Amino acid sequence: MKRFVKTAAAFCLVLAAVLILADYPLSRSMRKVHTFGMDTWRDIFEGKAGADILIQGDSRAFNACYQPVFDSLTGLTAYNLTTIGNPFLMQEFRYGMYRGHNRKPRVILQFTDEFFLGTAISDYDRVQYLPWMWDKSFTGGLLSVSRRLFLQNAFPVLRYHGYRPWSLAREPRMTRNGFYLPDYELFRDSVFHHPAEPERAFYYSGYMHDRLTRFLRNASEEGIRVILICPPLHESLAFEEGGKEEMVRFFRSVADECGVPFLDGTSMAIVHDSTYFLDRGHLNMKGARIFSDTLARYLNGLHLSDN
Amino acid sequence: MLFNSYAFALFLPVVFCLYWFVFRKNLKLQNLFVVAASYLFYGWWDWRFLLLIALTSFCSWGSGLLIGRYRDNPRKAKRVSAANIILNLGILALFKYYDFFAQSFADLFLGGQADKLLLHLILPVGISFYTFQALSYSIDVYRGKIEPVKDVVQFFAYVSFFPQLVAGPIERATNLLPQFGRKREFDYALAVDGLRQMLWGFFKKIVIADECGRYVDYVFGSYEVQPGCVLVLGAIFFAFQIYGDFSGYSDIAIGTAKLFGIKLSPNFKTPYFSRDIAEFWRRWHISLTSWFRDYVYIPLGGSRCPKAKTVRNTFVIFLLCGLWHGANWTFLAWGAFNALLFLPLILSGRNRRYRDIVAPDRPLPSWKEAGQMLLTFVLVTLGWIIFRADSLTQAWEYLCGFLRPGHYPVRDEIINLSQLVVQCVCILVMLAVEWSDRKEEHGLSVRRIRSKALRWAVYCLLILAVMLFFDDGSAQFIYFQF
Repeated sequence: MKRFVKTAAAFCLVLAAVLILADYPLSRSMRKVHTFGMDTWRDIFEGKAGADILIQGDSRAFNACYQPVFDSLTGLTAYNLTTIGNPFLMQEFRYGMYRGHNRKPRVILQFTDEFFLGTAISDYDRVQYLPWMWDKSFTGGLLSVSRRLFLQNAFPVLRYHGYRPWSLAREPRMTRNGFYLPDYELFRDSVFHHPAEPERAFYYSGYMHDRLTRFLRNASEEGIRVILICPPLHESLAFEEGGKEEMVRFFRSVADECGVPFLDGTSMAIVHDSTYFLDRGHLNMKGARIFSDTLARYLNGLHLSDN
Repeated sequence: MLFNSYAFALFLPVVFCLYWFVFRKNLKLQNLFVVAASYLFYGWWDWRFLLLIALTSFCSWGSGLLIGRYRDNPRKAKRVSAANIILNLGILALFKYYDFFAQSFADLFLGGQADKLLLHLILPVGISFYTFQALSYSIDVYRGKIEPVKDVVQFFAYVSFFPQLVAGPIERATNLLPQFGRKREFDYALAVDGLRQMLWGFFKKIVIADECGRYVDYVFGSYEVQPGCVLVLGAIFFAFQIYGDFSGYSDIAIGTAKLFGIKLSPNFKTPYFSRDIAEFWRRWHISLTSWFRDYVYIPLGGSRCPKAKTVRNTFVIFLLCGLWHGANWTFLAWGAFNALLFLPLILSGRNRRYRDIVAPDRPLPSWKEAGQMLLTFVLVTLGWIIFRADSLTQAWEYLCGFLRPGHYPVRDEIINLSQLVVQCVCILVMLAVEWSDRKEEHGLSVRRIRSKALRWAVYCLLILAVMLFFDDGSAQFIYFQF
């Protein structure tokens, strides 16, 4: 038995070394993969994400902004930093990483929605940042956001399990400007004709409220204009009784409290027309053009380029 | 609890340490611990069905004692044995087959209105495996092949031993029960070989079966629109999926048992290197086929009887084998298909031509042997299509789809070209390893690799592959449902 335990321990040590040695080149090769998430992290770490207008939020923001409109109408550069499938905690962490490697933006378009202030950090598309787990500032930051997520992603090689790196290289499905591939458009009809969807609830805690206000105030102190935005949601998106109104009211009050502007997309005319939507919660390209146009004109009104 | 889960990764070392370091000196306590660990392992899925295992175990143990007591009164012994068989098969029939037969009855006579007849019972995981294992004991006691066991804990350990509880191998009392009656000493070589066998099992399950499974599920789910080349690949991949899944499970089970000083029976012996169907069935799911052979086929007369009876016996055993896999007409059809393939061999007396492994003294098979293996694989794969399909109609449509023209969808999300290439390479690696070790008990015997460093390098490589392909235990073993 002694011999068995000794041999097993020695093998575990060798295996640990092999895993670490294997993880490094694997991570390096994974950094070259092109998906929306990975492209963004790569830009962040290589300092290529710096822009005048920074778009932050989740998939709603991802789909609501069509960058060429910003570029042409405002004369400023825009970068879509949205973190699909993740709430403010993760977005804030990513913003921190952005600031560590990129220039200060002039304005942040901070999108909100009913999931925005959730505290459960999703592991959605977590492969997007796995190649950067060797970066100390990154792992430290991730650990502070979610210990679970950190532990889940800390084990060398195993953390890539199920992602099939060879397959991932062939999945550039999401472009920087949204879900514009034809199959997503086909998906649209089935979503709209699906009658039963769970009612959405808006939830937040005092802790998250404080965290958001701190973020807004810090940005203002740094001279960054933040605009809090509720994106357009199709009128058929089911909320619990009064949930949508409560959400809008909450974010408006936070904006007032911190002295930042608030734009309410939920009251725009396009929310009544499904042809602007990919599904009930996400704009399609047509909707994104309209909404981005509105945002760009609003930004022009702030005379950002004069500063 | 799944073998391919984090829970098992914690469970196994803890049980291993307690088994050898705490309960080693007292056999009774050690067996009791095996029962407790096994019940925890099974109860992880649904603790309510532990009662069913306990009932099956207790009845079989009790019937064994009674049969032993009635040695001088064969009629009474026969009655007890029959009662135990009826009880066990009754439980199995109730949970596994009742709804199927009720629905079939309703389809035939009630215009499909079966709502009032159906019970919608949950199928307990592994019920067919432990029921057959418990049955083999009482039948063997009745036949006088084994003495009845007085120690109830020893018997419960035999029925519920966790490595093979939910998906076999279906152990015989003559092999496993005495092992729980002797004091077990830790055997270094056996334990190391067990770990190797487990690793090979994980490779087959996670790298081969689960990956093929993604492909297969996708293809069978959209077979109406897929071109023939994709359907052919889907069928081939299913052949490797089911082999990797089930033989992988068996390897993990046998390997795990070795860690505890227990030797389980082999369940697979490189079946895809068989030269005819008869050889295939001697190498595939050996514990089940030998069970049916010993307890059904031979008592019916086997092949040493008039040809008409041989035909009947062959069909009976294959149909039962099909039905054992599940309550669906596809399984019965699969059994019948295999019986049809088997009959020409048995009627012409050529069913025992190939009893040794192929090319035992050569590194490669002859062209003839390669052709025979390929033909056998094709026939088996055709049978797997029936086995995998949801209905006979689907199986037929799938087969007809083989002729559908069309190019391979190289950029498909699931079955893209890179996925296909990686999968084919993995399958070839598995086949090459199993071919080179076909004389051994399992694919990773590595007897020929004398350098320890090289052996460890092979292990590390396999572990890396397993880690990369691992999918959070979401992929169940196919045979759990049986």
